[in-house]
Amino acid sequence: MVKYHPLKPKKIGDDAPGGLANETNTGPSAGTEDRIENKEIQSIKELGVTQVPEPPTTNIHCLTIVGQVEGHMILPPQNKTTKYEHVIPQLVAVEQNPQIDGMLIILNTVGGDVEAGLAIAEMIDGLSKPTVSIVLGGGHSIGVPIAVSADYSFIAETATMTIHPIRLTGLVIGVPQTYEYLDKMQDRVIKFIEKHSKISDSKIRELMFRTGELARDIGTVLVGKDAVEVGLINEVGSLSPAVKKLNELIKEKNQRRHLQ
Amino acid sequence: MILYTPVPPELIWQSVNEESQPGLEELVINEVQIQVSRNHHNQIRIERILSTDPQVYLNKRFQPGMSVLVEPVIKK
Repeated sequence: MVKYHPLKPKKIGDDAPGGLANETNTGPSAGTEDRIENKEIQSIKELGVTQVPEPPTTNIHCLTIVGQVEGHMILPPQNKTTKYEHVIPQLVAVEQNPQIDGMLIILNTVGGDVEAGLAIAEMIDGLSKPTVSIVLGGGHSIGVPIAVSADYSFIAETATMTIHPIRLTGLVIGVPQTYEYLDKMQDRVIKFIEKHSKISDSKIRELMFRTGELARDIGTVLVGKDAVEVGLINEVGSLSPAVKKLNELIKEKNQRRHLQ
Repeated sequence: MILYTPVPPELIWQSVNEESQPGLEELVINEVQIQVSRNHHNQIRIERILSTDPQVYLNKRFQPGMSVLVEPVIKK
């Protein structure tokens, strides 16, 4: 480990103030007034890593939805989560940044919070820039509306999507209202999927309540091309066709803009 | 709150009653949002990059697993 002199650090946060807030003053010669004035502007020192030139910028950004989609409650730390409060501002930033032309959404999720999942799906749908999603590994449960919210969707040949009914995982109150509430939540998800893909309402319900496919449970697992056959996903494919499609959509959008 | 997931609830909530481990912190360095854990007193470890910019993932200064020494420095 190389230790740098505190006043001549190799900084990575030099031109971006506000890296770390730390009130302690450890500089050996930090006495003069203007230094004290700049107390807030502190930087971060790195260990034994060489400086690399800035990589070229890209016009495609990539949103990764992995693990559980986390919304109203913080899940215990052994869960890998994609947090609502990270993703939503990122989508806003992508919409606002003129240097970004399109977005790739990579899904490998086991579902999660209904409200957060639908919120992310609605935000992706509301994005004015072209979006392409790829389901890799798995896009289960609430991952389904997120996958179909993009303008065009891909699924890897080996990826799976589980479609099953929504049920309460927390406190169960055995009153008819609970059932009706769950039914309403389920309808929200089904309506979104139906609106954003080629699958029909009745087909989703049929897949959702199918018996005999999942052990101890009802529902369906769609593997790769099955998801395309039922009309949920547009195409089987992975990275290269997805980036190609996204570039095509960007080109189309630019052409439309020029015609106007 | 309703979780819509094939993962059984007992797996999701299994560590909820255990002693809470030191959690991850979020930092923004050079406009890059990262998740870090604190190793020692002034050393942090980059656990995850949260940025959507794919080029950030190629940046050798922001590789997950990398330890970074954080020290307050008074800027001239």
